[in-house]
Amino acid sequence: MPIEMAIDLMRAAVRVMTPLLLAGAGEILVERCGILNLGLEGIMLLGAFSGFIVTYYTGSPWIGVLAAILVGMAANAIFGFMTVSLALDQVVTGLALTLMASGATFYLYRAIFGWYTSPVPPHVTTVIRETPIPLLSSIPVIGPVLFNQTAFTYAALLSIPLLYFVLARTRVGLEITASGEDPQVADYLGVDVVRLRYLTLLAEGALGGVAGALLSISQYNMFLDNMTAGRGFIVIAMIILGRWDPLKMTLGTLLFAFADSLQLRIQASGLLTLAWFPYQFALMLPYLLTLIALVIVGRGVKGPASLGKPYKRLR
Amino acid sequence: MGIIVAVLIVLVAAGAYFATKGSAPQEEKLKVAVIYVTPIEEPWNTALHEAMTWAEQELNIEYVYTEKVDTADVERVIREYIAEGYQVIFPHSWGYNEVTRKLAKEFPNVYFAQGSGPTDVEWPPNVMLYDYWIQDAAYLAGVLAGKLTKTNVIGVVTAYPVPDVNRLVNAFCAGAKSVNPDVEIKVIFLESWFDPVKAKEAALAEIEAGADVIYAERYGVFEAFKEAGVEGYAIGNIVNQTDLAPDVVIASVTWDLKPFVRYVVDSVRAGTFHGGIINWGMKEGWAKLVWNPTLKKQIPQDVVAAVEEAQQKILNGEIQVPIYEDWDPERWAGGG
Repeated sequence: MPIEMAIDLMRAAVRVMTPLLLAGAGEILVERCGILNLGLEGIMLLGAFSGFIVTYYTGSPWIGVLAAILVGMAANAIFGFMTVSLALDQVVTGLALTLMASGATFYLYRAIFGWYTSPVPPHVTTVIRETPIPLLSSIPVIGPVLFNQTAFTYAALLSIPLLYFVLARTRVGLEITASGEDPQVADYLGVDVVRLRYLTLLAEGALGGVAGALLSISQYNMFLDNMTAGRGFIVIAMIILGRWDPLKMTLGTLLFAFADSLQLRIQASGLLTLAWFPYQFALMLPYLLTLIALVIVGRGVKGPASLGKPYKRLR
Repeated sequence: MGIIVAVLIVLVAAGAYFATKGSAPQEEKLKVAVIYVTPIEEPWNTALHEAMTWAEQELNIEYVYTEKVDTADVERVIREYIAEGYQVIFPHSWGYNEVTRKLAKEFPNVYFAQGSGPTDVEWPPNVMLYDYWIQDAAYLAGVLAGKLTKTNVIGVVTAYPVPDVNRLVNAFCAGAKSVNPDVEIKVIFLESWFDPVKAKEAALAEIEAGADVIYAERYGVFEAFKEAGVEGYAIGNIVNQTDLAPDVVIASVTWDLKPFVRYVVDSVRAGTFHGGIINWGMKEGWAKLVWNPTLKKQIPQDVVAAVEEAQQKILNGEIQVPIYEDWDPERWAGGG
């Protein structure tokens, strides 16, 4: 029994981690390239909305995912136009994107569905469920935890080593890092900073869109107003605390997701009937543990030197 | 022949004219405005919206609303409605209560029905304070859960331990313990009003801990049963949520605002509007436990009988459902 409980706990942690990791992989990429995109929350919300709407009308959650990818990329292309081409303030533009997404998704939701007479909000009947990987999923403990999840989880788990490899071992990774450290020098050396920033933004838009869609058409079957509930901002905090390192960011999100799943189980365990252990303490755990861990591992590391600074090419 | 047909047509037309005239008095439409803090999809809002759309048909009112009005914006919205001639305003959120009190003093000829607020402050005479006093139905849901569980573990997934939520959760626990003193009750607070994905995770944690009947104070629980593939039931909250998961939702604790809306409209029309606190219960038709008719037939009938017996006892006053506005986990500890 304790083994089963531990497996359930770890499975839940991986499930909770998945959207954070997908969005985080995208945001690390753009931040390493020198762009701080506070519009991530908005991208996720747009992904959740477009994924839901398209699934609702086509009946296919996979077409929904595709729509979320395209919408996420389109939104980030606009963000790129404002911040890369027009060199506007990234913080303000990013927050504006998030606010716009929050208002626009709800406005469109009302415009599309109006008000149904049924007390039940519109929902999709087909969601993306787990796809167990043959053989691997039958390994004890690791099988159910890592290999009996949705395709989103596999994508998220693969994206991190890939991201690490690209950033640390490839030429384009070095060019991305160089653009984030000193775009002027990178430009002198022949790096197309503008093109790289657009490309990383498009990648982030796709990943963020998927991360949002999985909330509305896999982990849940409805779109509700602001249903991303701050996950995009949690991801950005993870990246800063993890000092822009994909592995440390993964460690942070895993710890956060683990502690969040654990606290729900602590609440369900009945331990909280003890007067000295208020449930608020359980709720605080994910934030507290992640903060402590990442402050320790991330000591003394600096972020990309040109993060958040617009780059205007000299002529 | 032609004359007979003509006479018949005239008679039928006259009959129809008088019939419509008789059934619907040519009364002026009462202008009612509602302000919601969140989208109508949130059950707390859905309950009032349903009653209002019903009243539009039945009570000859004009119903307008604005949703997603931030507390900081509500004063402007109410003033606009008053300026447009709306006579009855429903600010349907706790956060609006201070603005309501202020504007009610400024506009003594406008009637207000404030959706939840503190009971220990002074309310102007043109304000009725209502809240979902549906603990009678939550108690019945507890009886249902306590009787229905096979694992002897039941759960609650809820938002914050604030007084109006606590009333329901405590009544649910009291109902469950009344029929099954050994039942173990798992309560999880999400500290979030609107995060269905997290609510689903909470429900999964309770299911793993053995819960097979869960009172879903928030959205998210029904999906958890489907995903876990565990046989179990969920109880919906505030509105009838059977259609959302017909295989899982056994019943819903509902809040029927139609009698209240009728009461407000009638008293405004009759000029007998009295301010004060409205704490209606099951007797007034305000709180109801609505069954999922299909699942009701499939569960053991002694469970249904126990719920119906408790309902009778609440209606005839034999059972007084306890009202606790605080959350003390030790109150319902033990068992299991």
